[in-house]
Amino acid sequence: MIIPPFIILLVTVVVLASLGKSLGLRQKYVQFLLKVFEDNNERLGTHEFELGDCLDYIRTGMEAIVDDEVTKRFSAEELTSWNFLTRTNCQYEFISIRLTIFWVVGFILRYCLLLPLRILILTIGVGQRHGGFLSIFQRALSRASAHIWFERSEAKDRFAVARRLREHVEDPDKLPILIFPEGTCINNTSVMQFKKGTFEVGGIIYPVAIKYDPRFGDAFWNSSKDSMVSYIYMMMTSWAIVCDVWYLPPMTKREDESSIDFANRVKANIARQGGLVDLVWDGGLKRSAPKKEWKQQYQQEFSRRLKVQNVNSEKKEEKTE
Amino acid sequence: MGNKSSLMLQEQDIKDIQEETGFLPGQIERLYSRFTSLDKGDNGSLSREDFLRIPELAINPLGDRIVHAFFKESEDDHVNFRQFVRVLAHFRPIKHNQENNLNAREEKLRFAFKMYDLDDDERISREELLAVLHMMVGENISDEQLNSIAERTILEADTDGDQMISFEEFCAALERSDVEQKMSIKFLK
Repeated sequence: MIIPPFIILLVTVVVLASLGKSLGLRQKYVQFLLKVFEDNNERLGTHEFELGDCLDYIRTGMEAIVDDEVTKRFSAEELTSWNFLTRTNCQYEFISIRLTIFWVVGFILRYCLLLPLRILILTIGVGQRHGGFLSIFQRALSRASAHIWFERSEAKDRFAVARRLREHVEDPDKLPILIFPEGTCINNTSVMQFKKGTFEVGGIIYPVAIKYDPRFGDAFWNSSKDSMVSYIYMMMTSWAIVCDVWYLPPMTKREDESSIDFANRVKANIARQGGLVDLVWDGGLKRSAPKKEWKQQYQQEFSRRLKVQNVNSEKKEEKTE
Repeated sequence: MGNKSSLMLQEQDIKDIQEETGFLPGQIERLYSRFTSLDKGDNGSLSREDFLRIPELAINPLGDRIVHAFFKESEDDHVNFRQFVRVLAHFRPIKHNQENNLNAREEKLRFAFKMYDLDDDERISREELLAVLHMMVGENISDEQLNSIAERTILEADTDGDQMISFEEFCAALERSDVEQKMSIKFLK
């Protein structure tokens, strides 16, 4: 019973094919299959809205209030044990005579011995370079000529900037460029997002991992809290500035890699070597609010998982598209 | 320096807070340290901007509502440390026989209820539900569809027929969900 219609179909298809046309059966079959898959997948993943759907958002919001990964990167690192500097102990309380004595001795050592010593070294060091302050100025200027200067209008043009950087990098006589890709001061417990601009220019990147030991003196300059002078003063009255520097093997951008991926790859290497937390967050969050797109992403995710019904029908029909 | 000393936590304060909230002294000190680090102006209290400066909170779709929950009790649009801890106490995990009046299941549910009930009339109206839905979906779902979701939700939960959800109806609707776990966070000592 099936055979005659089947043979007719077969003959039709062959005839059409020899004429260069087709019924499009294969396409229709594939499209039908895809639609079936999509519809069922959507159904599997969606659920009806419940009053309890907000609970997860509330909890993650509260967790962020109690502790978050970003805001603590912009103030000095908290130490696990006191290093006898009152600046690292925000809630100074009298605990014991012994600790107080240690602190007083430390205070005398730092302010009456180390501080004068360091000021002395600074003045002698400055004086020794022939001519004193004037020659400092001259040397600074000569170093500045190796800088890459931009006109203000040029600085706004990203392509112009990238072109100038590339010219500099490709010239073998020019000095290598020193780059701090986070774009702002962070407290050295983490590495934050690297700006992708430098990673687009090409050339070889030589990553350098730097980690200060905060127990001897915190090198972090909280520019919104301390002026440069008080920062220098704090540096000079610390125990010491102890810093580990690792020069990592050179890296280049791979063919199939975007500059953002390359930047993240370099960042991961530096974080791993220095024992720092690798964060995706932008250091610019120190001064500005996060982009709206992040919130919109959450909203999209939530909407996607929500079962939505067609409003324009008497009986409730599931959304078929 | 002098200003900071007036902000320091006294022993008696810690005891009072422990009594009221059930937090341990170590937890209270940690929360105080967090409070002062959020307090950028150093005035012993937090404003809404201080909260929303936390990026993870600013991008939370319900971020504004959560912040609002802290300011319900305050008169001058600022939250002091007592009020701060009192709100957080609702999220203390429940341990057997250690329930106090702030983190009991009913209190957690009441906190969630207040997320919806903006005008504090002990009822969630359709508009209030729509407002929260809108915050959670953004522009991705049309108003008519949101309306139908809100109507259906109220229909299912509303047992006394007043077209609004009371606190009892709310609790009944959430009877089967694991409120204790969803509304608890780990506080480090």
